Amino acid sequence: MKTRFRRFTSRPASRHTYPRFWEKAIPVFLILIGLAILVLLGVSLAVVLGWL
Amino acid sequence: MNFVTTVLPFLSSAVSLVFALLVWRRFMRKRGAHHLLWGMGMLFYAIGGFCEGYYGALGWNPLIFRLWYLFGAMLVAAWLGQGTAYLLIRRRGLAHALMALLLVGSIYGAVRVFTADLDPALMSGGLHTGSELSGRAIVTPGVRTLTPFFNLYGTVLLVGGAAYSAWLFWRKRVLLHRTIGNVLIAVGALLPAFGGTFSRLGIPGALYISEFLGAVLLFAGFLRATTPIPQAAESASAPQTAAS
Repeated sequence: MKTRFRRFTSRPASRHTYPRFWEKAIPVFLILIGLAILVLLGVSLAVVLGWL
Repeated sequence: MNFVTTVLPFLSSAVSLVFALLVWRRFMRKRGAHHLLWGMGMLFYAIGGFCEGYYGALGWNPLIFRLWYLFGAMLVAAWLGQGTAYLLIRRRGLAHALMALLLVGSIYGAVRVFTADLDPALMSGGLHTGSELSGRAIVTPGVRTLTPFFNLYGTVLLVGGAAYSAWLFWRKRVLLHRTIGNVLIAVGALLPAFGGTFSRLGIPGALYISEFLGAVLLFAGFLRATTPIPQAAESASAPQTAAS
């Protein structure tokens, strides 16, 4: 497992790049999506516990 | 006829239905359980939108409410998410086991929804005006408690799966159309989830507007992900790509 993870993370980055806008925008979108999932998890927990 | 409570849900329903038919056509050509399940999920989305529009246009009907709650509120996200499970989970046995659980859960949910006691007057209680369908009409305890489990399962799989795919493509800097498509799908799936939350908090129109935008973004994301960007256009906007 450890070996597989190391191999996965140490894979060399591609020499190809995206257009500049997407190069910068995609990680921002992904971070926001991740945060949104966390918020939804919190809200769902609140609903199940009867707080909302 | 109110635009937000009647026209918009019918539009969501129409977009979802066209999307479902398109995904099923893809299933007929390419097979893949994920296509079949995404089509089912979008059909559920369409049923939910239709029921909302029906309520906006013609008023309360217990059968329409039950159909809306079962397909539009409880099952849609979970079935869409199950499609993503089949796409991303390599161990077929695990995907089948999750499918079996979802099937049993869906049947149980259907029985609970169709045997629940309803009181439409409760939809206009508190912050809610009653102009939109709301699960508050369900009197029987324990029915609404099931919904967050389905929605959490579906949203995490659908949004998480799309975001994970987008990240993989972005990391390797390949298939830009799939990266963009998956981001659109993730955002489109998040919107109705947040709309439901805002609706619970009493913000009028939040659910129906977010459902419409969600359907449009999911559809756009699917089209983007399945339509490669012409090489010439891609390299014109990224000259460094051509050099490498």
